[in-house]
Amino acid sequence: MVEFVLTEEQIALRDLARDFVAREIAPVAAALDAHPDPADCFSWELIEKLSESGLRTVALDPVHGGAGADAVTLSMLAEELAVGDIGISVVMAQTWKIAQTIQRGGTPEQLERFLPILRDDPRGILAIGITEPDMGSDYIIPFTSPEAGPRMTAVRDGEGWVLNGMKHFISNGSRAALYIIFARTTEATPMLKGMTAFFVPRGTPGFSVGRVHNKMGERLANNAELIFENCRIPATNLFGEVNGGFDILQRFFPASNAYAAASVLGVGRAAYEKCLDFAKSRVQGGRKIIEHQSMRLLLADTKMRLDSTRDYIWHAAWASEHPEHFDATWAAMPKVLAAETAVRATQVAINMHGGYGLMRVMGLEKLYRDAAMFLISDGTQQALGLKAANAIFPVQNPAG
Amino acid sequence: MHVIACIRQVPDYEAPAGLFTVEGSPPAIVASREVKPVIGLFDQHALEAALRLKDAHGATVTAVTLGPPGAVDVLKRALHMGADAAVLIDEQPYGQLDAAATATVLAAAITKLAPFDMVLCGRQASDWDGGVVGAGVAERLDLPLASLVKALEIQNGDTRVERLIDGGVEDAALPNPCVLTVTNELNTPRLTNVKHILAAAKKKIPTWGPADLTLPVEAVTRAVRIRIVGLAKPIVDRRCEMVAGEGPEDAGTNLALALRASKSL
Repeated sequence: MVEFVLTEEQIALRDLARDFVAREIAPVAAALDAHPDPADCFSWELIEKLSESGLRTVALDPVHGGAGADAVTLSMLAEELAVGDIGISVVMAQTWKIAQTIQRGGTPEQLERFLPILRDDPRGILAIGITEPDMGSDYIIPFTSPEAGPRMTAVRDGEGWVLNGMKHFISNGSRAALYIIFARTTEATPMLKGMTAFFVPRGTPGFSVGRVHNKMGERLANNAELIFENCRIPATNLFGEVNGGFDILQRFFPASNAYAAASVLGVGRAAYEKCLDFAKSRVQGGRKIIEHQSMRLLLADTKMRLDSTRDYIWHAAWASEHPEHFDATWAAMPKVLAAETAVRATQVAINMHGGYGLMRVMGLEKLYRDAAMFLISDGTQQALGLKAANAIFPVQNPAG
Repeated sequence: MHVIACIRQVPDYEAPAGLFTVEGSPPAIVASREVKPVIGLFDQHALEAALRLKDAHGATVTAVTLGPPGAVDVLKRALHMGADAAVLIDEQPYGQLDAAATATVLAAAITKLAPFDMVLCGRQASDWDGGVVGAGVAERLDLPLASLVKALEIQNGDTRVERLIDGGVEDAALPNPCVLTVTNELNTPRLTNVKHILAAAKKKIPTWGPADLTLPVEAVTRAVRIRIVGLAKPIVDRRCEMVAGEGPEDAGTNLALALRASKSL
């Protein structure tokens, strides 16, 4: 039987994340979100403070200078940080999951070369580049036709590889110190067998950052274009096998969906907590609205959805590290459920606050934007649904 | 350098008064389950001061608390913030303690932790606001005391402090070992830290009782000078009175007059 009773260590980490939210994130999140230039919404100051607290490197194994936090603990922390702001949560969750991936899939030489970039630089955050202007849901479902997949190419050249092409919508794209980039290495082949992963450190000649995208929500995380123009990298930057890129995604990112789910769940919880506080103080008809039956039912319903979603996320996260218990649909559906839960919670919150809910100063419209982002971010609900459906009953051509 | 920080577990000092009731005989303040136990406000600043001495001078920091078994939580938090060791003194054998008796027990524990260079306490507890335990500890240990410390540094082996005094600040130098009670102006307490949380999991927090302190219960009981004979919550009377006027200025004048008449000004 799986139990999710938190250990003393997990409680202490959770309390640290809560204290960090209260002291560092909550006071600045709304102002950062409001910057018109999306690049200005990002805060190195917050990242450096997360480094000081040890949270930035919490996913590194102790031998590499971290806490070796497991997937359930990381899900819990992603939710806690997102109660303060989902952008900060995503910046960290991306870094955590990529750190886990490098540790599990990198060679000893790569661990020695790349982990210090994360461990030693207080601004060391990580990014993964898969999505392109013409490839989004392709790799999520995944589509199996040879035309589907990355346009970006990696061509063998002597002792190294030459990368050409473009990525976009990449989380931490403009800020990361190290990137894992997926490129096509065999033409006219389904991406399952023709895509390869590479390590590309920031500053590699031929690699530059394009636009920072101006998003509706999750603005404290920067998403950006990555541009590769004859970008040469050594053969030792190959991650996994040639044409084994999809295998890297499948083997090393089983908890990725759970982390995204936990982040957006935190937005829902923030909305619920605002509701609870408001309902205890707002008086209508001579009584606090928490004593009004319609409001009481909304609170109970929202809490039920948040709690049950959390259980689903934690179960998926736990199973990601116990492969014998992992169901492939759990690599897709936790985010689907969590995004729906969070959007609903933010709508309830606006509704419960009445006219106040429409005022930006109350912070609910930010939560609504942040939650709605995740109906699309990390895979559209439909693409993830098809991915899960393929796990239940595969069909030859999912597009049809 | 060995610095001892005395910290006390109190009900969350930011919790609204409505979450507390007075119950029992002798009367006691009972917090509702919603009220979380925390480290007293000024004690957090005492602990932070100790940790800064660790950062700056490599001091070893020991956190001490006198309380029920559940008070071990504040000691864990001290370890999570970076304290090197922590000791819980079980208050249960001693029964109801006042400030004087508390100082007697703490002084015995601090003596057992010797050698030390400095004892740091909050200026007052966040629940009873007595503000005398630190001074009592200094008296029992026969050590110099500086109270209401708002700035602190080590100079040539001595402790230099700035003390808050009425209308100003007093600079003072004390030889070590000494006892300081600190104010919230001294510093901003740090958050816990992943590294210290992991390290704390390997540390044991001993619980000391009368036998460990060689302090018989009767000696402490004799030290108690104050009994609580009654506790009452103040009755808050809210009234709303609308003050009118011919215009804003007139209304303002009438408001000032009304406040003076009600002795609010």
